[in-house]
Amino acid sequence: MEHQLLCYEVETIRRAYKDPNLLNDRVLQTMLRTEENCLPSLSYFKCVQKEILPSMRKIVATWMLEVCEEQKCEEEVFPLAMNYLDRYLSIELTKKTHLQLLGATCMFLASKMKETIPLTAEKLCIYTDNSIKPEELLQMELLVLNKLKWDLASVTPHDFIEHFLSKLPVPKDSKQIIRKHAQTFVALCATDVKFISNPPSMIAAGSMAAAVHGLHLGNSNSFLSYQPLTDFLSQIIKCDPDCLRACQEQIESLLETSLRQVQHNSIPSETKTVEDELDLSCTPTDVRDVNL
Amino acid sequence: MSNVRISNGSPTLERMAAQQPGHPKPSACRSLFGPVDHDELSRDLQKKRNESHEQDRLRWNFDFERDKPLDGNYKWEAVDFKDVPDFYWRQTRERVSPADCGVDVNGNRAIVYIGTTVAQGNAAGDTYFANSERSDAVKETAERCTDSKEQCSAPRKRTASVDCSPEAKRVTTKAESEWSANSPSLSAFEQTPKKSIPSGHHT
Repeated sequence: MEHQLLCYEVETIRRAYKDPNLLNDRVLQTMLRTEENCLPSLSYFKCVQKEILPSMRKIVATWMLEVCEEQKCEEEVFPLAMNYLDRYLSIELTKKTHLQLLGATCMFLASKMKETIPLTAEKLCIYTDNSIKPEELLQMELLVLNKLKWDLASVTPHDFIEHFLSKLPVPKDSKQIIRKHAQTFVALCATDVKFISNPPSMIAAGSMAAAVHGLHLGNSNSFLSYQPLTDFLSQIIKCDPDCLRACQEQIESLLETSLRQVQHNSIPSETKTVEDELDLSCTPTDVRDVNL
Repeated sequence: MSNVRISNGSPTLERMAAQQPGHPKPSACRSLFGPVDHDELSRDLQKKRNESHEQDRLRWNFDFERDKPLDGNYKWEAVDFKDVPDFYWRQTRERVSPADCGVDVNGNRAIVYIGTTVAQGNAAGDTYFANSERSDAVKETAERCTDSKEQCSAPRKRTASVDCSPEAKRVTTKAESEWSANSPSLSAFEQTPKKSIPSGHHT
Protein backbone atom coordinates (compact mmCIF):
# COMPACT_ATOMS: atom_id res chain seq x y z
CA MET A 1 0.00 0.00 0.00
CA GLU A 2 1.37 3.33 -0.96
CA HIS A 3 1.60 6.18 1.42
CA GLN A 4 -0.78 8.91 0.68
CA LEU A 5 -0.98 12.41 1.88
CA LEU A 6 -4.25 13.32 3.39
CA CYS A 7 -5.34 16.87 3.14
CA TYR A 8 -7.55 17.97 5.98
CA GLU A 9 -7.82 21.51 4.79
CA VAL A 10 -11.33 22.38 3.87
CA GLU A 11 -11.90 25.19 1.53
CA THR A 12 -14.05 27.47 3.55
CA ILE A 13 -14.92 31.03 2.97
CA ARG A 14 -13.45 33.38 5.45
CA ARG A 15 -15.85 35.88 6.81
CA ALA A 16 -15.36 39.10 8.57
CA TYR A 17 -16.82 39.37 12.03
CA LYS A 18 -20.02 41.25 12.23
CA ASP A 19 -19.15 44.88 12.61
CA PRO A 20 -21.39 46.60 15.18
CA ASN A 21 -20.47 49.91 13.62
CA LEU A 22 -22.45 48.92 10.58
CA LEU A 23 -25.55 48.45 12.67
CA ASN A 24 -25.71 51.91 14.13
CA ASP A 25 -28.32 54.51 13.47
CA ARG A 26 -26.28 56.60 11.11
CA VAL A 27 -25.97 53.67 8.72
CA LEU A 28 -29.67 52.92 9.02
CA GLN A 29 -30.59 56.50 8.20
CA THR A 30 -28.32 56.49 5.17
CA MET A 31 -29.86 53.25 3.98
CA LEU A 32 -33.34 54.71 4.33
CA ARG A 33 -32.26 57.75 2.39
CA THR A 34 -30.61 55.88 -0.44
CA GLU A 35 -32.97 52.97 -0.90
CA GLU A 36 -35.30 55.03 -3.05
CA ASN A 37 -32.58 55.52 -5.63
CA CYS A 38 -32.49 51.86 -6.54
CA LEU A 39 -36.19 51.28 -6.97
CA PRO A 40 -37.42 49.95 -10.29
CA SER A 41 -40.25 51.71 -12.03
CA LEU A 42 -43.67 50.64 -10.92
CA SER A 43 -45.30 50.13 -14.26
CA TYR A 44 -42.74 48.79 -16.64
CA PHE A 45 -44.99 46.05 -17.90
CA LYS A 46 -47.38 48.66 -19.16
CA CYS A 47 -45.06 51.44 -20.17
CA VAL A 48 -41.86 49.82 -21.38
CA GLN A 49 -42.32 46.17 -22.18
CA LYS A 50 -44.34 44.80 -25.05
CA GLU A 51 -43.80 41.04 -24.82
CA ILE A 52 -42.99 40.54 -21.20
CA LEU A 53 -45.86 39.88 -18.84
CA PRO A 54 -46.00 39.68 -15.07
CA SER A 55 -46.42 35.91 -15.32
CA MET A 56 -43.11 35.66 -17.17
CA ARG A 57 -41.37 37.58 -14.45
CA LYS A 58 -42.72 35.02 -12.03
CA ILE A 59 -41.38 32.19 -14.16
CA VAL A 60 -37.92 33.64 -14.47
CA ALA A 61 -37.86 34.63 -10.79
CA THR A 62 -38.80 31.14 -9.69
CA TRP A 63 -36.07 29.71 -11.85
CA MET A 64 -33.53 32.18 -10.48
CA LEU A 65 -34.46 31.32 -6.92
CA GLU A 66 -34.04 27.64 -7.69
CA VAL A 67 -30.61 28.20 -9.16
CA CYS A 68 -29.56 30.32 -6.19
CA GLU A 69 -30.78 27.66 -3.82
CA GLU A 70 -29.16 24.82 -5.68
CA GLN A 71 -25.89 26.71 -5.86
CA LYS A 72 -26.23 27.65 -2.20
CA CYS A 73 -25.74 31.29 -2.92
CA GLU A 74 -25.78 33.83 -0.18
CA GLU A 75 -29.30 34.85 0.72
CA GLU A 76 -28.87 38.32 -0.64
CA VAL A 77 -27.95 37.25 -4.14
CA PHE A 78 -31.45 36.44 -5.25
CA PRO A 79 -33.22 39.65 -4.14
CA LEU A 80 -30.33 41.69 -5.46
CA ALA A 81 -30.48 39.95 -8.83
CA MET A 82 -34.20 40.63 -8.97
CA ASN A 83 -33.52 44.28 -8.25
CA TYR A 84 -31.16 44.42 -11.23
CA LEU A 85 -33.66 42.59 -13.40
CA ASP A 86 -36.50 44.94 -12.56
CA ARG A 87 -34.36 48.01 -12.97
CA TYR A 88 -33.19 46.84 -16.36
CA LEU A 89 -36.70 45.99 -17.50
CA SER A 90 -37.85 49.40 -16.29
CA ILE A 91 -35.79 51.09 -18.96
CA GLU A 92 -35.03 48.61 -21.68
CA LEU A 93 -37.46 46.91 -24.03
CA THR A 94 -36.60 43.23 -23.88
CA LYS A 95 -37.70 40.24 -25.89
CA LYS A 96 -39.36 37.35 -24.21
CA THR A 97 -36.75 34.94 -25.49
CA HIS A 98 -33.99 37.05 -23.94
CA LEU A 99 -35.55 37.21 -20.51
CA GLN A 100 -33.77 34.14 -19.20
CA LEU A 101 -30.47 35.51 -20.43
CA LEU A 102 -31.22 38.67 -18.51
CA GLY A 103 -32.09 36.68 -15.40
CA ALA A 104 -28.86 34.70 -15.63
CA THR A 105 -26.87 37.88 -16.14
CA CYS A 106 -28.43 39.50 -13.11
CA MET A 107 -27.57 36.49 -10.97
CA PHE A 108 -24.06 36.58 -12.37
CA LEU A 109 -23.67 40.21 -11.32
CA ALA A 110 -25.37 39.87 -7.95
CA SER A 111 -23.26 36.86 -7.15
CA LYS A 112 -20.10 38.76 -7.93
CA MET A 113 -21.26 41.57 -5.73
CA LYS A 114 -22.00 39.41 -2.72
CA GLU A 115 -20.01 36.22 -2.86
CA THR A 116 -16.44 35.25 -2.32
CA ILE A 117 -16.70 32.51 -4.88
CA PRO A 118 -19.19 33.77 -7.41
CA LEU A 119 -21.25 31.77 -9.85
CA THR A 120 -19.49 31.20 -13.13
CA ALA A 121 -20.83 32.13 -16.51
CA GLU A 122 -20.63 28.55 -17.67
CA LYS A 123 -22.52 27.21 -14.73
CA LEU A 124 -25.29 29.69 -15.34
CA CYS A 125 -25.45 28.73 -18.99
CA ILE A 126 -25.85 25.11 -18.04
CA TYR A 127 -28.76 26.13 -15.87
CA THR A 128 -30.44 27.61 -18.92
CA ASP A 129 -30.14 24.16 -20.44
CA ASN A 130 -27.42 25.64 -22.62
CA SER A 131 -29.89 27.82 -24.42
CA ILE A 132 -27.44 30.68 -24.05
CA LYS A 133 -23.68 30.78 -24.45
CA PRO A 134 -21.18 32.16 -21.97
CA GLU A 135 -20.06 34.80 -24.48
CA GLU A 136 -23.60 36.02 -24.76
CA LEU A 137 -23.88 36.19 -21.02
CA LEU A 138 -20.73 38.27 -20.81
CA GLN A 139 -21.89 40.65 -23.48
CA MET A 140 -25.21 40.98 -21.77
CA GLU A 141 -23.39 41.67 -18.54
CA LEU A 142 -21.73 44.68 -20.04
CA LEU A 143 -25.01 45.90 -21.40
CA VAL A 144 -26.79 45.52 -18.07
CA LEU A 145 -23.96 47.29 -16.29
CA ASN A 146 -24.19 50.14 -18.74
CA LYS A 147 -27.92 50.46 -18.39
CA LEU A 148 -27.76 50.33 -14.61
CA LYS A 149 -25.02 52.93 -14.79
CA TRP A 150 -22.72 50.55 -12.91
CA ASP A 151 -24.76 51.23 -9.82
CA LEU A 152 -24.97 47.76 -8.34
CA ALA A 153 -24.75 48.37 -4.63
CA SER A 154 -28.49 48.48 -4.09
CA VAL A 155 -29.81 48.31 -0.58
CA THR A 156 -31.58 45.00 -0.01
CA PRO A 157 -34.20 44.02 2.56
CA HIS A 158 -31.55 41.82 4.15
CA ASP A 159 -29.56 44.87 5.13
CA PHE A 160 -32.54 46.13 7.09
CA ILE A 161 -33.34 42.83 8.74
CA GLU A 162 -30.02 42.90 10.53
CA HIS A 163 -30.77 46.35 11.86
CA PHE A 164 -34.20 45.33 13.10
CA LEU A 165 -32.81 42.25 14.80
CA SER A 166 -30.13 44.25 16.53
CA LYS A 167 -32.83 46.41 18.07
CA LEU A 168 -35.13 43.60 19.17
CA PRO A 169 -35.01 42.58 22.83
CA VAL A 170 -35.13 38.85 22.15
CA PRO A 171 -32.69 36.01 22.85
CA LYS A 172 -30.16 35.00 20.26
CA ASP A 173 -31.77 31.75 19.17
CA SER A 174 -35.06 33.50 18.57
CA LYS A 175 -33.27 36.03 16.43
CA GLN A 176 -31.81 33.24 14.41
CA ILE A 177 -35.15 31.74 13.55
CA ILE A 178 -36.78 35.10 12.97
CA ARG A 179 -34.00 35.97 10.56
CA LYS A 180 -34.44 32.73 8.69
CA HIS A 181 -38.16 33.11 8.33
CA ALA A 182 -37.94 36.77 7.42
CA GLN A 183 -35.37 36.00 4.74
CA THR A 184 -37.68 33.38 3.35
CA PHE A 185 -40.43 35.95 3.11
CA VAL A 186 -38.09 38.41 1.46
CA ALA A 187 -37.27 35.86 -1.23
CA LEU A 188 -40.93 35.12 -1.67
CA CYS A 189 -41.68 38.83 -2.11
CA ALA A 190 -38.94 39.15 -4.70
CA THR A 191 -40.70 36.59 -6.86
CA ASP A 192 -43.98 38.48 -6.81
CA VAL A 193 -44.84 41.42 -9.00
CA LYS A 194 -46.96 43.11 -6.37
CA PHE A 195 -43.93 44.03 -4.34
CA ILE A 196 -41.83 45.61 -7.07
CA SER A 197 -42.55 49.11 -5.98
CA ASN A 198 -42.14 48.57 -2.26
CA PRO A 199 -38.90 49.92 -0.84
CA PRO A 200 -36.59 47.31 0.68
CA SER A 201 -37.18 48.65 4.19
CA MET A 202 -40.90 48.02 3.84
CA ILE A 203 -40.34 44.50 2.52
CA ALA A 204 -37.96 43.83 5.37
CA ALA A 205 -40.30 45.14 8.05
CA GLY A 206 -43.31 43.37 6.58
CA SER A 207 -41.38 40.11 6.32
CA MET A 208 -40.11 40.45 9.82
CA ALA A 209 -43.59 41.09 11.22
CA ALA A 210 -44.98 38.19 9.23
CA ALA A 211 -42.20 35.94 10.49
CA VAL A 212 -42.76 36.83 14.14
CA HIS A 213 -46.48 36.49 13.71
CA GLY A 214 -46.17 33.12 12.00
CA LEU A 215 -43.86 31.83 14.69
CA HIS A 216 -46.30 32.85 17.43
CA LEU A 217 -43.51 34.59 19.24
CA GLY A 218 -45.88 37.28 20.39
CA ASN A 219 -47.49 34.91 22.88
CA SER A 220 -44.47 34.65 25.10
CA ASN A 221 -42.91 38.04 24.53
CA SER A 222 -45.26 40.96 24.76
CA PHE A 223 -42.88 43.14 22.81
CA LEU A 224 -43.34 40.86 19.85
CA SER A 225 -47.09 40.85 19.91
CA TYR A 226 -48.82 42.25 16.91
CA GLN A 227 -49.45 45.89 17.75
CA PRO A 228 -46.21 46.82 19.52
CA LEU A 229 -44.04 45.15 16.92
CA THR A 230 -45.74 46.86 14.02
CA ASP A 231 -45.45 50.21 15.77
CA PHE A 232 -41.84 49.55 16.60
CA LEU A 233 -40.88 48.57 13.05
CA SER A 234 -42.83 51.33 11.38
CA GLN A 235 -41.10 53.81 13.63
CA ILE A 236 -37.71 52.52 12.58
CA ILE A 237 -38.44 52.76 8.88
CA LYS A 238 -40.48 55.93 9.31
CA CYS A 239 -43.65 54.78 7.69
CA ASP A 240 -47.27 54.69 8.64
CA PRO A 241 -48.10 51.63 10.80
CA ASP A 242 -51.14 51.01 8.63
CA CYS A 243 -48.97 50.82 5.53
CA LEU A 244 -46.75 48.30 7.20
CA ARG A 245 -49.74 46.32 8.36
CA ALA A 246 -51.08 46.25 4.82
CA CYS A 247 -47.71 45.08 3.53
CA GLN A 248 -47.54 42.35 6.14
CA GLU A 249 -51.00 41.15 5.24
CA GLN A 250 -50.06 41.14 1.59
CA ILE A 251 -47.04 39.00 2.37
CA GLU A 252 -49.09 36.60 4.44
CA SER A 253 -51.68 36.21 1.75
CA LEU A 254 -48.93 35.67 -0.81
CA LEU A 255 -47.64 32.84 1.32
CA GLU A 256 -51.11 31.43 1.62
CA THR A 257 -51.65 31.49 -2.14
CA SER A 258 -48.28 29.92 -2.78
CA LEU A 259 -48.97 27.19 -0.27
CA ARG A 260 -52.36 26.53 -1.74
CA GLN A 261 -50.79 26.15 -5.14
CA VAL A 262 -48.34 23.67 -3.78
CA GLN A 263 -51.03 21.71 -2.00
CA HIS A 264 -53.06 21.77 -5.13
CA ASN A 265 -50.15 20.38 -7.07
CA SER A 266 -49.17 17.68 -4.61
CA ILE A 267 -51.36 16.45 -1.78
CA PRO A 268 -54.78 18.01 -1.98
CA SER A 269 -56.10 16.12 1.02
CA GLU A 270 -53.95 17.86 3.57
CA THR A 271 -55.40 20.93 5.08
CA LYS A 272 -52.95 22.82 7.13
CA THR A 273 -53.20 26.30 8.41
CA VAL A 274 -50.76 28.84 7.15
CA GLU A 275 -49.09 29.08 10.51
CA ASP A 276 -48.51 25.38 10.74
CA GLU A 277 -47.00 25.34 7.32
CA LEU A 278 -44.83 28.26 8.12
CA ASP A 279 -43.44 26.51 11.14
CA LEU A 280 -42.32 23.72 8.91
CA SER A 281 -41.04 25.89 6.16
CA CYS A 282 -38.23 27.47 8.00
CA THR A 283 -35.60 27.32 5.30
CA PRO A 284 -35.58 29.17 2.03
CA THR A 285 -35.53 25.85 0.29
CA ASP A 286 -39.09 25.48 1.38
CA VAL A 287 -40.00 28.72 -0.24
CA ARG A 288 -38.70 27.33 -3.44
CA ASP A 289 -40.87 24.31 -2.99
CA VAL A 290 -43.72 26.58 -2.18
CA ASN A 291 -43.27 28.34 -5.45
CA LEU A 292 -43.02 25.33 -7.64
CA MET B 1 -26.33 36.67 7.33
CA SER B 2 -24.73 34.77 10.14
CA ASN B 3 -26.01 31.37 9.25
CA VAL B 4 -25.29 31.71 5.60
CA ARG B 5 -23.91 28.78 3.87
CA ILE B 6 -20.78 28.82 1.88
CA SER B 7 -21.18 28.75 -1.81
CA ASN B 8 -18.59 26.15 -2.62
CA GLY B 9 -20.77 23.32 -1.52
CA SER B 10 -22.15 23.37 -5.01
CA PRO B 11 -21.57 20.64 -7.50
CA THR B 12 -18.51 21.22 -9.58
CA LEU B 13 -18.76 22.30 -13.12
CA GLU B 14 -17.35 19.03 -14.33
CA ARG B 15 -19.93 17.11 -12.46
CA MET B 16 -22.67 19.21 -13.86
CA ALA B 17 -21.28 19.08 -17.34
CA ALA B 18 -21.00 15.34 -17.06
CA GLN B 19 -24.65 15.18 -16.27
CA GLN B 20 -25.53 16.83 -19.51
CA PRO B 21 -26.03 13.93 -21.88
CA GLY B 22 -28.47 11.31 -20.81
CA HIS B 23 -28.33 11.54 -17.05
CA PRO B 24 -31.09 13.30 -15.22
CA LYS B 25 -30.30 16.96 -14.93
CA PRO B 26 -30.76 19.05 -11.88
CA SER B 27 -34.32 20.23 -11.93
CA ALA B 28 -33.32 23.85 -12.28
CA CYS B 29 -31.60 23.25 -15.62
CA ARG B 30 -34.18 24.34 -18.08
CA SER B 31 -34.87 26.69 -20.89
CA LEU B 32 -37.79 28.86 -19.90
CA PHE B 33 -39.05 30.59 -22.99
CA GLY B 34 -38.14 28.34 -25.84
CA PRO B 35 -35.04 28.26 -27.99
CA VAL B 36 -32.94 31.39 -28.33
CA ASP B 37 -32.16 32.61 -31.81
CA HIS B 38 -28.46 33.25 -31.44
CA ASP B 39 -28.12 35.30 -34.61
CA GLU B 40 -30.93 37.54 -33.57
CA LEU B 41 -29.54 37.83 -30.07
CA SER B 42 -26.13 38.72 -31.34
CA ARG B 43 -27.65 41.35 -33.65
CA ASP B 44 -29.62 42.80 -30.76
CA LEU B 45 -26.60 42.90 -28.50
CA GLN B 46 -24.56 44.50 -31.24
CA LYS B 47 -27.25 47.08 -31.79
CA LYS B 48 -27.44 47.99 -28.15
CA ARG B 49 -23.68 48.12 -27.98
CA ASN B 50 -23.64 50.54 -30.88
CA GLU B 51 -26.24 52.64 -29.16
CA SER B 52 -24.17 52.94 -26.05
CA HIS B 53 -21.07 53.66 -28.15
CA GLU B 54 -22.98 56.46 -29.75
CA GLN B 55 -24.07 57.81 -26.38
CA ASP B 56 -20.54 57.74 -25.09
CA ARG B 57 -19.31 59.39 -28.24
CA LEU B 58 -21.78 62.23 -27.86
CA ARG B 59 -21.23 62.56 -24.17
CA TRP B 60 -17.48 62.84 -24.31
CA ASN B 61 -17.14 64.09 -27.88
CA PHE B 62 -14.58 61.43 -28.45
CA ASP B 63 -14.58 58.67 -31.00
CA PHE B 64 -13.59 55.75 -28.85
CA GLU B 65 -13.59 53.38 -31.79
CA ARG B 66 -10.94 55.28 -33.64
CA ASP B 67 -9.42 56.99 -30.65
CA LYS B 68 -9.99 60.43 -32.06
CA PRO B 69 -11.28 63.54 -30.37
CA LEU B 70 -14.33 65.21 -31.87
CA ASP B 71 -15.74 68.70 -31.61
CA GLY B 72 -17.73 69.42 -28.51
CA ASN B 73 -17.64 70.54 -24.92
CA TYR B 74 -14.48 68.75 -24.04
CA LYS B 75 -11.16 69.84 -25.45
CA TRP B 76 -8.98 66.82 -25.79
CA GLU B 77 -5.26 67.10 -25.61
CA ALA B 78 -2.95 64.17 -25.83
CA VAL B 79 0.14 63.79 -23.76
CA ASP B 80 3.03 61.45 -24.07
CA PHE B 81 2.22 58.26 -22.31
CA LYS B 82 5.49 58.44 -20.46
CA ASP B 83 4.24 61.55 -18.71
CA VAL B 84 1.45 59.72 -16.99
CA PRO B 85 1.77 57.09 -14.29
CA ASP B 86 2.41 53.66 -15.58
CA PHE B 87 -0.91 52.69 -14.15
CA TYR B 88 -2.42 53.92 -17.37
CA TRP B 89 -0.27 52.00 -19.76
CA ARG B 90 1.60 49.22 -18.09
CA GLN B 91 0.67 45.68 -18.92
CA THR B 92 -2.15 44.85 -16.64
CA ARG B 93 -2.17 41.88 -14.40
CA GLU B 94 -5.30 40.43 -15.93
CA ARG B 95 -4.02 40.29 -19.44
CA VAL B 96 -5.49 37.23 -21.08
CA SER B 97 -4.62 35.89 -24.43
CA PRO B 98 -7.42 35.10 -26.84
CA ALA B 99 -6.49 31.46 -26.62
CA ASP B 100 -7.54 31.63 -23.01
CA CYS B 101 -11.02 32.71 -23.73
CA GLY B 102 -12.68 29.71 -22.17
CA VAL B 103 -14.27 30.73 -18.96
CA ASP B 104 -12.16 29.78 -16.02
CA VAL B 105 -13.15 28.58 -12.62
CA ASN B 106 -14.37 31.90 -11.41
CA GLY B 107 -15.61 33.23 -14.66
CA ASN B 108 -13.69 36.36 -13.81
CA ARG B 109 -11.02 36.19 -16.38
CA ALA B 110 -13.39 35.75 -19.18
CA ILE B 111 -15.02 38.97 -18.13
CA VAL B 112 -11.78 40.74 -18.43
CA TYR B 113 -11.18 39.23 -21.76
CA ILE B 114 -14.55 40.18 -23.13
CA GLY B 115 -14.12 43.56 -21.60
CA THR B 116 -11.13 44.12 -23.82
CA THR B 117 -12.75 43.12 -27.01
CA VAL B 118 -16.28 44.21 -26.50
CA ALA B 119 -15.67 47.27 -24.47
CA GLN B 120 -13.24 48.89 -26.79
CA GLY B 121 -14.58 52.33 -26.77
CA ASN B 122 -17.75 51.12 -25.27
CA ALA B 123 -17.98 52.24 -21.76
CA ALA B 124 -16.37 55.61 -21.97
CA GLY B 125 -12.94 54.17 -21.53
CA ASP B 126 -13.81 52.17 -18.52
CA THR B 127 -11.26 49.62 -19.47
CA TYR B 128 -7.71 50.62 -19.22
CA PHE B 129 -6.72 47.65 -21.28
CA ALA B 130 -7.54 49.60 -24.33
CA ASN B 131 -5.04 52.17 -23.24
CA SER B 132 -2.23 49.78 -22.81
CA GLU B 133 -2.93 48.25 -26.13
CA ARG B 134 -3.09 51.41 -28.02
CA SER B 135 -0.33 53.55 -26.79
CA ASP B 136 0.76 53.92 -30.38
CA ALA B 137 -2.58 55.19 -31.45
CA VAL B 138 -2.53 57.52 -28.54
CA LYS B 139 0.81 58.91 -29.50
CA GLU B 140 -0.44 59.41 -32.95
CA THR B 141 -3.39 61.26 -31.58
CA ALA B 142 -1.01 63.23 -29.51
CA GLU B 143 0.76 64.54 -32.54
CA ARG B 144 -2.41 65.52 -34.23
CA CYS B 145 -4.06 67.23 -31.41
CA THR B 146 -1.40 69.31 -29.89
CA ASP B 147 -2.88 72.35 -31.54
CA SER B 148 -5.89 72.49 -29.30
CA LYS B 149 -5.35 75.49 -27.14
CA GLU B 150 -7.41 75.11 -24.07
CA GLN B 151 -6.07 72.44 -21.87
CA CYS B 152 -8.81 70.79 -20.03
CA SER B 153 -9.21 67.15 -20.18
CA ALA B 154 -7.30 64.13 -19.18
CA PRO B 155 -4.29 62.71 -20.91
CA ARG B 156 -6.30 60.38 -23.02
CA LYS B 157 -9.63 58.86 -23.51
CA ARG B 158 -9.59 58.05 -19.90
CA THR B 159 -10.97 61.45 -19.11
CA ALA B 160 -9.56 61.15 -15.68
CA SER B 161 -7.44 63.41 -13.51
CA VAL B 162 -8.97 66.73 -14.44
CA ASP B 163 -12.15 68.09 -12.97
CA CYS B 164 -14.13 68.34 -16.13
CA SER B 165 -16.92 66.29 -14.77
CA PRO B 166 -17.55 64.90 -11.36
CA GLU B 167 -17.77 61.44 -12.76
CA ALA B 168 -14.45 61.55 -14.40
CA LYS B 169 -13.06 62.68 -11.15
CA ARG B 170 -14.64 59.87 -9.31
CA VAL B 171 -13.18 57.39 -11.70
CA THR B 172 -9.74 58.74 -11.05
CA THR B 173 -10.10 58.69 -7.35
CA LYS B 174 -11.14 55.10 -7.43
CA ALA B 175 -8.40 54.08 -9.75
CA GLU B 176 -5.83 55.90 -7.74
CA SER B 177 -6.87 54.57 -4.41
CA GLU B 178 -6.81 51.10 -5.84
CA TRP B 179 -3.41 51.76 -7.22
CA SER B 180 -1.95 53.23 -4.13
CA ALA B 181 -3.43 50.51 -2.06
CA ASN B 182 -1.52 48.06 -4.15
CA SER B 183 1.76 49.82 -3.85
CA PRO B 184 1.73 52.64 -1.36
CA SER B 185 5.32 53.46 -2.00
CA LEU B 186 4.45 54.66 -5.47
CA SER B 187 1.63 56.90 -4.46
CA ALA B 188 3.77 59.96 -4.86
CA PHE B 189 4.50 58.97 -8.40
CA GLU B 190 0.87 58.70 -9.16
CA GLN B 191 0.30 62.32 -8.22
CA THR B 192 2.55 63.60 -10.96
CA PRO B 193 0.13 64.09 -13.83
CA LYS B 194 -2.24 66.17 -11.79
CA LYS B 195 0.45 68.61 -10.98
CA SER B 196 2.46 68.52 -14.11
CA ILE B 197 -0.25 68.64 -16.70
CA PRO B 198 -1.81 71.95 -15.78
CA SER B 199 1.51 73.69 -15.28
CA GLY B 200 2.89 72.28 -18.47
CA HIS B 201 0.01 73.02 -20.75
CA HIS B 202 -1.79 76.06 -19.54
CA THR B 203 -0.99 78.81 -21.91
